[in-house]
Parts: sequence; structure tokens; C-alpha cells
Amino acid sequence: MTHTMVLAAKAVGSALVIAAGGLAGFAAARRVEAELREVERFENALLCLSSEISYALTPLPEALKRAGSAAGGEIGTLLARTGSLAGLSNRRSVSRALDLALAEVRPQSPKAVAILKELAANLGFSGHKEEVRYIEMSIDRTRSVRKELEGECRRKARLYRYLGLFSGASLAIVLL
Amino acid sequence: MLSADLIFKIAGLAIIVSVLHSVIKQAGKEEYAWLVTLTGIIVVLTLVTRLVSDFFQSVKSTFLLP
Repeated sequence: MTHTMVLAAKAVGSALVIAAGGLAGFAAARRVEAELREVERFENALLCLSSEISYALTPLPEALKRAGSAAGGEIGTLLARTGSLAGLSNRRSVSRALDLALAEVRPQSPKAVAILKELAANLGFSGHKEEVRYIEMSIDRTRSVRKELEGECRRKARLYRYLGLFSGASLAIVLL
Repeated sequence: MLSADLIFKIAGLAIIVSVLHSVIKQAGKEEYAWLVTLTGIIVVLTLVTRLVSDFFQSVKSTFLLP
């Protein structure tokens, strides 16, 4: 009876250790993949912003708000907040509004934020055709960043999952 | 602990360490892969230290070494 109980306790303990390791690995992998998702959302937001400005001729702050809400996620919130802080009524440039919005929202992708900062420095000073050209340049840059991240994130995420699971398993073996 | 248990334990660790080594190597981080292998070796050495010590004691007593 006691021997069976010891064996059962060992089995449950090992399962818990392996599960803990696996969960830690999966959480790390999810964090890595979140950056890729943010960049994808940013690309969608820029496409939406370009359409709003070139076809609907929406004013820039309103276009930023709409693109942000269409994209979703932290980067979408950042764009929407930038849109609500910018504009003539607030007497702020897009660049200044972005700085203020970054103090409130911090997206997980520093690369997307860097592209957005460069874009914001050029928005609001020229006609809509020029603005669309700047946005298209940013879309191209975001696309190349996304392609670069895709392979890297997939590799890293798989590595973290394996590391978590196997570290848990090896710890369980040592503790048994 | 039974010696057979220890052998199975070392075998399990070896399998896990070899899988981890190949996974990390595939991810392009060869230096970390070697670090994991080295950690595995150190863990296994820690497990067998007492047995090695016992073995040397037996050798000494068998051949009447000082």
C-alpha cells in the first residue's frame, strides 16, 4: 500500500514538473510569436491608412483612428491614440502625438514602433499624395521586417517549446 | 538506490540531452547546444560520483593499496 502510494506520488510529481516546464516553454514561445503578430497588425493598419487617405480622403487624425481600430492589438491602440491626440484641434503634430501615445501604450514590437516613428515625422506636412507615398514606403519596410521575423520567430518558438518540455523531463528524471 | 535505476536514469538523461542538442543546433545556436550537453555530462557525473568513489575504495581494498 505504502509502496503504491509512493509510486503514485512520484508519477504525479513528475507529471507536474514536466507540465510546469512545458508551460514555461509555451509561454516563452507565445511571447516570441506576439511580436510577429504585432508586425502583421501594423502592416494591415498601414494598408488601411493608405486606403483611407488616398480613396476616402479622410483627414489624417481620423484616418489614424480608423486604421488603429481596424488593426487591433497594442499597435492598433497606439495608432488610434495617436489619431485622437493629433490634429489641428489639439494643436499637435503626428510626431508629437505619437510620443505622447507611446508614454501610454508600449507595443511589443520595437521594429514596428521605429518604422512608425519615421513615418510620423513625415506625416501632416504635405498633400495626401505625398503622404500615401510615405506610407507605401513604410509598408515595404514593414513587409521586409515581417518576412525576416517569420522564419526567426518560428525557429525560436519551436526551440522554446522543446526546451521547456525537455528541461521539465530531465528535472523529473533527476528528481525521481 | 538500485544500480539498474541509475542506469535507466542516465539513459533517459542521455536521450533528452541528445534531442535538445540537435534541436538547439537546428535553431542555429551551436554554442548553446554544447552548453546543454556539458550540463548533461555534469549532472550525470554528479549522479555517479558516489559510485566511482566506492569503486576506487574497492580497488584499493582488493589490491591492498595504502
